[in-house]
Amino acid sequence: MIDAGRLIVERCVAEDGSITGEHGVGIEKREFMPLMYSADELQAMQDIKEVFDPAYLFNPHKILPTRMPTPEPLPEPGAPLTSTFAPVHAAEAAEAIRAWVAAGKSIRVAGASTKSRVLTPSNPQADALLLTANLKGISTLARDDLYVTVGAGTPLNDLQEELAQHQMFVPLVAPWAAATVGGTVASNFNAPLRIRYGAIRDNLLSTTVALPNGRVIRAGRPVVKNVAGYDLPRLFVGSHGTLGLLTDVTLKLAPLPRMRASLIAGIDNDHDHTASDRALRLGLELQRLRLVCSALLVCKGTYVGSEAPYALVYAVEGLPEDANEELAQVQRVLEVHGVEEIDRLEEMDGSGVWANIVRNSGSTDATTLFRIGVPPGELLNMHASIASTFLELSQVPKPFVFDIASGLLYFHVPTDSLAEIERVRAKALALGGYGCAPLHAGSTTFDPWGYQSEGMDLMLILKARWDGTGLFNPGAFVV
Amino acid sequence: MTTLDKDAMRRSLAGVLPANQIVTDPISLITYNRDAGLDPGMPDGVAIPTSTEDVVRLVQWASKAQVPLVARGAGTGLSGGAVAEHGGVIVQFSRMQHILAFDQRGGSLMVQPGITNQQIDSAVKAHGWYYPPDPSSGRAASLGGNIAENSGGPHCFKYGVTTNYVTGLQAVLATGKVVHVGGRALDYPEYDLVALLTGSEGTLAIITEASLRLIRNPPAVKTALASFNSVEAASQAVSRIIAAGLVPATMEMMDQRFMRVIEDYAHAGLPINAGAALIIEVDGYPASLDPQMAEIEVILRETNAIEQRFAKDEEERARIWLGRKSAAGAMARLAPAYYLVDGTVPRSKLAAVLSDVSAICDNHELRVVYVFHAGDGNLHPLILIEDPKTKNWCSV
Repeated sequence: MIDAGRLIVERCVAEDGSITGEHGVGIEKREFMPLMYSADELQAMQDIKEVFDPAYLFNPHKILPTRMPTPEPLPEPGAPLTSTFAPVHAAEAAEAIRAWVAAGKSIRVAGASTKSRVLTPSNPQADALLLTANLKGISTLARDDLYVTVGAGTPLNDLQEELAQHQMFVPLVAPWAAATVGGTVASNFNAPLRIRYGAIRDNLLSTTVALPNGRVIRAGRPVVKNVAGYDLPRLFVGSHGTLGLLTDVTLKLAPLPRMRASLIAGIDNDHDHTASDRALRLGLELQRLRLVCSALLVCKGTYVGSEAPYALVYAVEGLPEDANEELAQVQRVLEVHGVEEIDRLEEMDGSGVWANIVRNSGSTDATTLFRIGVPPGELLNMHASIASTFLELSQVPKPFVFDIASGLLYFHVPTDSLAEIERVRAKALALGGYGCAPLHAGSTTFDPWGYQSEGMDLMLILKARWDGTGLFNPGAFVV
Repeated sequence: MTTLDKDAMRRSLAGVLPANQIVTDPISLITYNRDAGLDPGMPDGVAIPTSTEDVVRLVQWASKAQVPLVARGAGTGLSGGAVAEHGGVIVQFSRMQHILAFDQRGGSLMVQPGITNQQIDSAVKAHGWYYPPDPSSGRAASLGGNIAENSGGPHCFKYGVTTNYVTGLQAVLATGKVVHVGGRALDYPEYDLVALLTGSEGTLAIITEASLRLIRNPPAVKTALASFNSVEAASQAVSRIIAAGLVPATMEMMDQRFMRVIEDYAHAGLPINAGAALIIEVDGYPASLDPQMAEIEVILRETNAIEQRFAKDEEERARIWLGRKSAAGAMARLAPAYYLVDGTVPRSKLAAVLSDVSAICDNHELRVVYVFHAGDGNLHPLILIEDPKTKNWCSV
């Protein structure tokens, strides 16, 4: 009987599926793991196990096969390449990494450098630049199976244009036109539409990675239940290229929505609340209406033609009957609360509003983009702290945007006011959140991340496990 | 692993937690010899913590005594994940099932791992929220087990699996240190350790709290049952529905053999003369349901559905689902046990793979029935175990 089970899962693996969907590996399927994963991929999982539990105290002998296959020895590293290299596939990237590491050269990875201040800061210790520029194009477009595999260096906009011809899209938005798919995934820069379609971590099914140790793994598979064993694909989301170079990514596809529309409401003071406070309260009230909502934003200074200082944006997309009903409900709530200035805009994309604000007031030498994340229910408390700080920071007239549904706030801070912003950051931490400047290169006086994960020890051990020399993308992230 | 003999280990364990939180008598331990899967493993003891501090004490003791710990929720898992295969102590979470915080405005929930899916469902739906993962064992299954196995369910085609809803975890590491990773906010600047722990089957740490994000409970739902001559024809309908840009909340498929087994047991009115049947459920605002179903009806007709049945009320909907959810009971009438193979393929390959699965089972002279999540390509062939005493089914 187990022979039959083995043949069945072998058949699944042959179709690029998984040996398990939702029942786990456990005892039953641990010996099947080598059917799905290479020795290098299993080794990466064993590394994870030993980072967390080196003594094998917790649930030993599960997931990993009793006899781990031995990874093939790596070839001797070649001579170091020139200081800039753009591989055309993962194996070539791994070869370059091995050569550079053997020569003791530090490596910076970069896509389009749209977030260059974090991904390629002027770091005198980065000896070599590894680019994704030649990792471009769609390799698989599976419309029936709702996934696309694409080179990590492909501009996200190019991918969306291609997919639109098939009435599909990937639910990712980057504020910068040249942003690559790989860079968007590695930086975990989530647009408001994540509330409708899931975050980047939820849309990444699979990725091929050249690890800092010079090995190549394929993490995940192009199916909804995409992993057996440890969830390696998500580990690379938001790791800012410090755990390896993503060479291709497989993303979920979604059908282009049949309808997009938004309500935009001008919000001014009322008797009890300032305009910003009122806008936020209304936004939180609307939270419970979200069914086909693709953005719920409060913005400052973006409502063209309105005298109101704040705008509340509620975007929907999906079937027309759902979209119209939800906007009607939103309109009723706003009217009950005395909001008079409400416009409906067809085809307006809420994430586009967000992207515009983030991009147009993007980091310059004079300002830096700051992001705060708090539990959505704490946004009012967070706002109170920001409002008091803003009064003191009179130089902060730049637009800012609350992504209410996600509990995120983006705004721009004058670079010479970063010391004061620490007060805001401290409040965010106290509320169970964080504050970071994801595009800031950092300095001796300002930490762009400002967050000490309780898992930092584990992160450091994992980083060291795959990048023992610390030469891979140093300084790009907290690790 | 441990150098203590079993009696010494049990005496030592008795000093870690109060007596009413420790089980060591052999008769009681038999209960923990298996989960809902096939692989056995007798633990040397069971500890029932009531707090994170209890878990820390257990881990510190186990680390010192070199005794393996196996976290366990309700024991409804199917792959042996909660079985103490090589002895050691099972950490059983039935007394840690509280809701710690419910942010009704922001839509998030913080809970202990022993809470069941059904308890979560009841707590949040009353306030208009929805926690989508819904494994078939949800009446008993614990959230901790769901997180350990990254559980799904019929609605994950549209709504995703457990990992899509876990935003933060509190866990006890092998050192005894308690860590919070992620939280109730999103996109913390750290490696996604929440994702690593989710689906790690209790092999990396012991989870003691979880933060979950919730979505709005869909205001309305409509359910249909369509029958086809073959699994291939039903699969074609699934592909056409997806190609039309529709996203049903669920698309579950049953083959003829499954339906006949179920019908004998549950009398759910399943189309037992058809080759396959699809349960299709759409959700959304009431105004969108009829147009969605009208489109689906056209597709079903074009893909040669033999019969289409649309639930007119909750009673009819429950009747359609009754068949699908009666699998375990119905199977028990046919054979003392079954081996449920859980594999996943890209959905367009489902029909071809199922055909091959039938051939594999025929070649091995095994009786098999099919029920599966057609929307996400998750096949669940149920292979009947006719005589557990004579078949070597429990060793891989």
